[in-house]
Amino acid sequence: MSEWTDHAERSNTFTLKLICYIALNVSRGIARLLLWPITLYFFVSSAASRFASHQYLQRVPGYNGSAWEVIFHIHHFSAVILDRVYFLTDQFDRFKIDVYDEEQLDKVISQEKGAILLGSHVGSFEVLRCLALRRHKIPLKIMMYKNHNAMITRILDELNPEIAKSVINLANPTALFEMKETLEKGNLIGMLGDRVLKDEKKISCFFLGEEVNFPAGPFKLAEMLSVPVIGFFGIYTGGNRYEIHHKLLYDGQKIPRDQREKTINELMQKYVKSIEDNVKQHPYNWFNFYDYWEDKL
Amino acid sequence: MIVNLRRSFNIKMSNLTDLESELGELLITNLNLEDIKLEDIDSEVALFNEGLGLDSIDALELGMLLSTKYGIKLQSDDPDFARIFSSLRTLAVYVESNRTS
Repeated sequence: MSEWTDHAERSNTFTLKLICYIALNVSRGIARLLLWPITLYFFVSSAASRFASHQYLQRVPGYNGSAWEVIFHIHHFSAVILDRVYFLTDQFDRFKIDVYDEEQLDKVISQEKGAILLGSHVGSFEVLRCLALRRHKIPLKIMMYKNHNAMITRILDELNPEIAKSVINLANPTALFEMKETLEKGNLIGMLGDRVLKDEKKISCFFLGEEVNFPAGPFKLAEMLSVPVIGFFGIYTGGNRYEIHHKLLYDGQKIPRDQREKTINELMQKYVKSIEDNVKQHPYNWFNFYDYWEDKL
Repeated sequence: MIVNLRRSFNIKMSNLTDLESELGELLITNLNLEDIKLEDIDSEVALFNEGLGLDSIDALELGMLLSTKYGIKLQSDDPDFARIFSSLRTLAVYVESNRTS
């Protein structure tokens, strides 16, 4: 994942386990109090994350990337990571979760031809993943590079081994074939659309004032396999509140070959626009703590 | 064995067997390799990464082409998965022994 979690990895296996224990056996309130010293520790010790946050916030209208804003930004990230513990252990009742435009997902599911749920490192992916599993009773597999050695992965996997098994590891050469087989059964595939993976084809999109690379894969695959794409966001709005937003981006219709590249670029730009709309409204939900605009075509 | 015999009697300039040529054409026309000519492709060259530069999405597309053109249904749990896609030759051997159309 990000530099932030790599860093957490090195120094803080004990803290992670302790927080996890307190979250599940003492209270969320106490665990949340501990997030402040942790936030300050990372603010002080991780110059790269601090700088990335500062640079990002400067791009958001109405924000200037001050030290306070950076601290709130890091705090939001740690709060969302903490809540993963509750979502993974199925404790949704603790939260007030407002779901918007869910009928778009229901409609796609009822067609039984599978669908791609396109998420991002904005807000909580876990709330979406766990809630989708619980509400729709339809299998959802997540495509990601899985670092089995990462302590945070191990700790969270232990909390819910069933969800851990529902990952398709992109490091595996057969990953996309597994994806195709999953969709052919009418099941759902979740993937993240805001980071370009190794060796992947890129699309340059306009995002918060500048061009930056996004992956061509999600819509290219959707078009090849004729499945719809729904953009979804699990936004943390403070306290115990989350908002889930769905947006149908592509209906799965074949695109004529001579227009394919252009259309796929436009679809991705449409998705990037919805990322931008969400982070402008909820700037502290952006969880890419590295120099995001550095990678250009 | 058959492939080797065919190769020794091959009067064309290309080092490819008929099926290898057919598969090569399939790759060039469908996977955006228009700047590569069939006679430039060696049957031993790697299809992915440093070879012809195909990626995992191309592999999936190739898998789907094999299904429509030759009736081959390659599954992700096939133990020979990585070997099949290693070169034009291994792909041709696989198609020859698994084709249904």
